[in-house]
Amino acid sequence: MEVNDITLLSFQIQEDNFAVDAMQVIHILEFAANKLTEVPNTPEYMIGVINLHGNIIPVVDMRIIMEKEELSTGTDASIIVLEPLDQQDATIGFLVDMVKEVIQTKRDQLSETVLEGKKGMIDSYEGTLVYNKEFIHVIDIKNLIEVIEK
Amino acid sequence: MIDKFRAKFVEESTDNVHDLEEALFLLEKDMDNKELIERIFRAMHSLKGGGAMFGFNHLSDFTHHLETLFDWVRNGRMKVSTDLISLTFSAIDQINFLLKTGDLTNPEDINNQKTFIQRIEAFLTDSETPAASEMQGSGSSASANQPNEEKTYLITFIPQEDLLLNGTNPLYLLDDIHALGTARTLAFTHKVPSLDLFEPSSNYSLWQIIVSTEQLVNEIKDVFIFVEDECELHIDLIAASSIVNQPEVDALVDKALKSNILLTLEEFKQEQWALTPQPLNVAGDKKKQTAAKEHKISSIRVSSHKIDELVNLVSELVTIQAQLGLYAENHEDPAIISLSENIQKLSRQLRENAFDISLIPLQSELMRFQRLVRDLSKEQAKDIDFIIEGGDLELDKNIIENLTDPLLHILRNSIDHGIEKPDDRIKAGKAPKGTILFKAFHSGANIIIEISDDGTGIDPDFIRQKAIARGVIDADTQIDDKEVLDLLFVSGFSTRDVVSGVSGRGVGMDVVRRRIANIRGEVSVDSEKGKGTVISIKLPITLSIIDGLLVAVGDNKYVIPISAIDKIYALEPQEVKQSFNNVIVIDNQQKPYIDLRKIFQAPEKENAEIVRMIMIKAEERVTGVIVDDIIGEYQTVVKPLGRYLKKQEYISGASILGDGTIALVVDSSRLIQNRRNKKVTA
Repeated sequence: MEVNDITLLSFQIQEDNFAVDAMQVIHILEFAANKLTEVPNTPEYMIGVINLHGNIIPVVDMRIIMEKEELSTGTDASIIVLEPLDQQDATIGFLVDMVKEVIQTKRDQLSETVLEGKKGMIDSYEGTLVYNKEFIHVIDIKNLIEVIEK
Repeated sequence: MIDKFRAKFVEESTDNVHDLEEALFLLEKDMDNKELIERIFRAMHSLKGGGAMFGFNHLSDFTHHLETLFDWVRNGRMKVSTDLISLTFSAIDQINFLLKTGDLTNPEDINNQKTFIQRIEAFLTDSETPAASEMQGSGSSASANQPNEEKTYLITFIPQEDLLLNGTNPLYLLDDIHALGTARTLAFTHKVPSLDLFEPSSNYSLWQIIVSTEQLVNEIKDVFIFVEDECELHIDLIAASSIVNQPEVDALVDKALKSNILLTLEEFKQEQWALTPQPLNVAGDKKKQTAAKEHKISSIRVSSHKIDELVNLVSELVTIQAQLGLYAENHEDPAIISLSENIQKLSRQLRENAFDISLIPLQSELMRFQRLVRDLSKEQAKDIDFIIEGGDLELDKNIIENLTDPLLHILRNSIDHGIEKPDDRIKAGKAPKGTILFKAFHSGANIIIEISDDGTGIDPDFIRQKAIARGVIDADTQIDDKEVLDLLFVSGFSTRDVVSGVSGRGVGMDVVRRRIANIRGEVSVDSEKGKGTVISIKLPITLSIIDGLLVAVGDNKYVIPISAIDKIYALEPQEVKQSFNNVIVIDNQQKPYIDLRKIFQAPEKENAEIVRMIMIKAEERVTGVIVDDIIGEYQTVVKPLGRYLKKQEYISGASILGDGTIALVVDSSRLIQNRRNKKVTA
């Protein structure tokens, strides 16, 4: 595999499409509210912790990170569990509306991300991919982690 | 690959350095102990040899100089002195530094190293005074650095069969001996078995060497230093001159080789050159070494990573076992119930064993403390007796790792501000030598570490005034002395500029408390002005498992450590509602409380008939905690919440229940502390 090749996992948050580096994804779970344990006195986006094979994994609601207003959870809602590269003890889950597909592409296919209006709490993206006539914004995981840890 | 070996070398060298340091401490108390000097020399020799082999050239070079120093001591050319010990201690720091960084690249470091080596060399030259070399005897004192007269030794080297297995080539050793002077080697091969019994990887040969050399007998011993545990070695002086090429020797050698009988001392004694041979047998030390070796084999080195993994797996097992127990209970199948009970028994034993393995003795860190006390007391011209009790107590390795810094801090405070200078102590009617007692002992499910000194103590009035001046308390606040001392732990109060030097204690004690709290420990201070200070730290034995009480607050379940629970009351919800200042009167006593339902933002349950108040204690204070319901007692494995939830104040971890759901573990001491600092406004 060339350095230029990237594999992305795309998902949907309401009408917007996003993706993360698939190599850092370790699990995709169906979302079940009764499996989630709320932790009091945490930021609004930190919706709780789940038990993943005996490990406690915090879960962040991506819709709140993206500053969406509609927060009802549909049947397709899933948790993407990421293990960020080069970071200790940083496994974390993200609640998204729907996981879509794995996309093989090249890094130079990404263009600079331009978001109109609200772009949420994230400061930077790795780029935007045009795929099947849709925009997919590739999230910079490092930046996302920084935002959450703040 | 080589990195792996280097890492192994560093690990082993750390042990050597540790050994070196320990021996040095003992030597300081018993300066004439030959065995200790030998031990120090051996540790240095291993460092030097290994260093050169694994590319730590600066380390090897440095230790070489140090080794020379102790070689002199060993040969009686130099006496052990406090200066020598101090020099060696600072050299150990340099060795540690070199082990950490490898070969130096920074010019400044290289320069420092050079200066250090010069210091050692200067030390060697200084000790070359008549006074020091007198012990060598008048004859050789002038030529201390010159080789001695030639003497002839008979070396009998009988290796064990497995000598070759650790990579030793005995021929190299023989070469080394030949390099020392004129030598004749006799190889005996009578032990070689017939071909069908012959193991190519075993060594069946033995050797005798007659060597005439100007070097001291220690030089010969050094050749064998790495194999001395794998062989029988005798080194005997047979003549005070060089006799290797004498015809009488030829005759003896021929006879021995023909008959396959080893040369004996007696044969040489009969000859005219013989002098009264001084037995230089090394067999004596050999016994001791074997004892040390056996001691080593009784334990093995396992990477801490593997142990962590084991502990993790066992924790998983405990969780799964709880699930099985739950299933068995629900299905009321006697066969499954008894199976589940057996598994429970086994997993409990397994768990205890696994946790036991991950405990390490406190001793491993004590060296640093001894070092600190020694260095600081020298620096400040104070005379301090540092007594350690209970150093063999075992604690979770994570706890020990987190404990070291706070303990160093406390000790430093004791020395800096606690113990007075000898003159002041005499004025105060105390013995000139101060005492710091480090005591560790079990107390229930906890371990207590107490550090007490007989220094100036802390003046509560001074602290009170400072606290008022700083606005920590009001001038008319009524608090007793114990509470005053507790103020030392309040952050922002105990900063250096406020207390240091004047009253004594309190530098950064808030940090100490926070660090100790991170490992679920508690710290308290007790002091009497003029008499001394006691700081005690209470720690759980292991971090990862606790006995807990499972309670419900709102929709969530929480675990409160049983060790913190004092009493449980049932209350009517009305009673709690009516109380306006978070105090409830029970048995005519006012009990302050914290309502967990408010702190954890849980919806209040309508028409609940009863709520529970759990009295929890921390640092000798008791506070009530209101919860909706009590579910039961659980033994749980505490898992960390991870880095994202670190800021969570009142939760110290999470625990997975039998049905796979999660209960959060309440940090009871943090709750109480924050209530007292008025942060909790329930």
